[in-house]
Amino acid sequence: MVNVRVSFSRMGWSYIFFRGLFHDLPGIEVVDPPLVNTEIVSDGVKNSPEFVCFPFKVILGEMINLYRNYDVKDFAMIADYGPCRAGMYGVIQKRIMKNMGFKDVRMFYLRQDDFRNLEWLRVFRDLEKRTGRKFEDYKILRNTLLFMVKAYYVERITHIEGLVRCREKNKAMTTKVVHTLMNLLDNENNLMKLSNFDRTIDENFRKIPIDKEMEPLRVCYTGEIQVMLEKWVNYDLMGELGVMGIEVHKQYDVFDWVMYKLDASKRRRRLEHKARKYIPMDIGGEAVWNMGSYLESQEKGFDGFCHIFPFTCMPEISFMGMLEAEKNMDKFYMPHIHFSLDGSSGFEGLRTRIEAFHDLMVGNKKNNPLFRDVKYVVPDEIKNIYFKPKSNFEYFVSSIEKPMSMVLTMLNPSKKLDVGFTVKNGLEFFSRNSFFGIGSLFNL
Amino acid sequence: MEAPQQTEKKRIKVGIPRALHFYRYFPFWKKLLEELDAEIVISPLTNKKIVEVGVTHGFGELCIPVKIYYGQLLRLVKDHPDLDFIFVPRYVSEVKDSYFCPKFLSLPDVIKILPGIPKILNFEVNVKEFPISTAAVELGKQLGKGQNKALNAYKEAQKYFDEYHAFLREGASVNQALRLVQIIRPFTLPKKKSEGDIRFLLLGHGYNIFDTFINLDFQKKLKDQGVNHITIENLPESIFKTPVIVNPRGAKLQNYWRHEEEIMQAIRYFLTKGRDEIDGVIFLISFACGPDSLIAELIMRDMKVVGLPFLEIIMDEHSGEAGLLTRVESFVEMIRRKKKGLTVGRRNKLTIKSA
Repeated sequence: MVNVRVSFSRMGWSYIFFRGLFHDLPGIEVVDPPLVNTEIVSDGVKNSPEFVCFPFKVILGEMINLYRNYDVKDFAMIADYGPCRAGMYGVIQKRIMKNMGFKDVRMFYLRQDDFRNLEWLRVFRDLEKRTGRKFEDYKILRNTLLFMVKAYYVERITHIEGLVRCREKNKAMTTKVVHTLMNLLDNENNLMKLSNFDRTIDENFRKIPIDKEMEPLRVCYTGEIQVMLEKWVNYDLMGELGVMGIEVHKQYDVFDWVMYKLDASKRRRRLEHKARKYIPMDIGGEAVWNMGSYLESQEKGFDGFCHIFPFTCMPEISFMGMLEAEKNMDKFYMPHIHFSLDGSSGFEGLRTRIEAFHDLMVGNKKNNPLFRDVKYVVPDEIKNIYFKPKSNFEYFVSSIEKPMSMVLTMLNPSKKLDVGFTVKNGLEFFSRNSFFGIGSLFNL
Repeated sequence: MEAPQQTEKKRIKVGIPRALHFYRYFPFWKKLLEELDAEIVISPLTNKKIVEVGVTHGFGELCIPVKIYYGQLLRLVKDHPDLDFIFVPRYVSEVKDSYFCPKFLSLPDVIKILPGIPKILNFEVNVKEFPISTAAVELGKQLGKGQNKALNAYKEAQKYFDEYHAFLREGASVNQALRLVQIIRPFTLPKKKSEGDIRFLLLGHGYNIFDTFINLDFQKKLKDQGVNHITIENLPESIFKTPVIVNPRGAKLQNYWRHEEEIMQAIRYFLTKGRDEIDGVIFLISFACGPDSLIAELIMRDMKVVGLPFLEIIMDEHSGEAGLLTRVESFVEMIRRKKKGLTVGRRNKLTIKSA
């Protein structure tokens, strides 16, 4: 019997729900990945191929650091069959680390090409093999739910953070509240209590004194998911924009991505539909949805579009090419800015660009009739927190509504699903303990 | 027998830029379009002017082959203002469970932004969704041809393409074969010229190896050094049958880029059975190429295990020839020396598990 120390990439706040996935499994000890810093990244850069995209280097650096200083030898990592490079990360990182002399590195691949085919359950099976103990089925089910619920709340908190920060009267109050909330979320593992966490979020944000009359500039904030979430990589761009008095509408988070892979995200379907005319298929990264959210936010009358991506990211560059070179100003008139991040650029250069972009938006707001005449709409989240607090009944309804709409969307699939493969995977997994192994599900 | 006047009127003019997948699929496209009664126009060989135009229209981070595609396309439009269509195929997946690079996936969409582009002739190869014959029928529709004609054209084109591949496997170089295709001559092998003493495998995408401008005529440089080289197109078909498993002991992941898969399969062959057939490997990569950056890393690490010399050359729009020449010369020299030393007693061979 070994106590296996497992870890993963931090990816901003994402470690909270990844820890939920491995919570309270026998023989498994989850190690919190430390905050990314210059040293970690430079380790990763040193050992990576030359022009691989930047998340690869960051994740490799984190793994090396975890191996060296935290005695972690087992890593959970995603794997994919997609068109972009992200699916191959794990394999090559393992190879590199083995060649560096870390012979006993193990990777557990979370297959994310389609979560509906239950291939991702293999992670638990591999971990069972590694620890030599059996995980009860109900624990796996509970952990999956924990993962989803926590991911949902992380997305919600960071989304509200972007909306509130520009309004705060006392500087850095939002950041403080976000940290408190994340701590609360991190330590709460009871699903019943978590189902009511929405109220906690609203109550905590309500403590921040805000400027209620304010009509700030609105920016749609999108990009490749890893650089969007990892604050060291993007220099906390969201915070910087917020401090400048810009309302940031963050578009994606891991929860959204998981929903998409479960084919349960209505929003992503809507964006895809909008973008179909320009990009008819998923080309990897977030390219399709970036296009969709550009068009959507333009319809809503936003003032700008901020797009960040790692250096040499293939799909995002294709998207940027489409937008950057677009001469058709009738359809694409909203100003957009693109940041290609490779970890070496100093922040001051970036700040100059953001400031210039800010000035451009202010000028637009004053003079350009396309932006001047747009009526500002207070976002629903802000309304619910400060202007018209939800009643108990509304909280109850919304807590049921969300999973219901998810399930309904899943029942109406837009992508093909290999049902036989799903059933095979499911049966194989849940019957691993006994012939009628599914029975253990009912021991709840 | 058709009257010549009628055909002249009816023939649709289709332009094909000489870049990207041109070096891989041109015989197929040519036969397919000609069977559908289209007239084909090809852009000239890449030159400095074309690259310059492409660079000004593309932006910084695009890889150089795509920039050349822009340039070639604009050149084609400039030379032939009377084009009816421009042929920009969308290659998504040719074999199930595989993709092409995202830049190929979005190629027709990206192209639209260039100024003065005529109508795009769409040809979407996406085996995940529908077979290639369906794409051919769609293509026929755009050219105003019936379903049967399109299907026949597809069959003919596939046959011709197989012939072309058979010819390449006999040992012809791709540039030679493409020339024969272009001037419509039967496939005959040229006379064998004097053999060099060492043999390289030249790896890379077709548009990097066979475009003589982007790689500063690399093949000629090798020839001048007295080196024979083969490309993956010359290898027997049998080695491309089974997929390469990247991590055999773990979750059995495959590489999912079509062309990179071929490269890996070729490398697997030379790492295991065909170890003695070549003396070294040169991998040509264009700057900022996504898939290659990872694949090259894997190959390099495999090569180290077996002890096969490996040179990775990264190319961009710079045209400094001396640096490239120095690297090639020293690489060739190194291998010659190694070969001399090795003739006495060969080091015991290591085997490789992971490829």
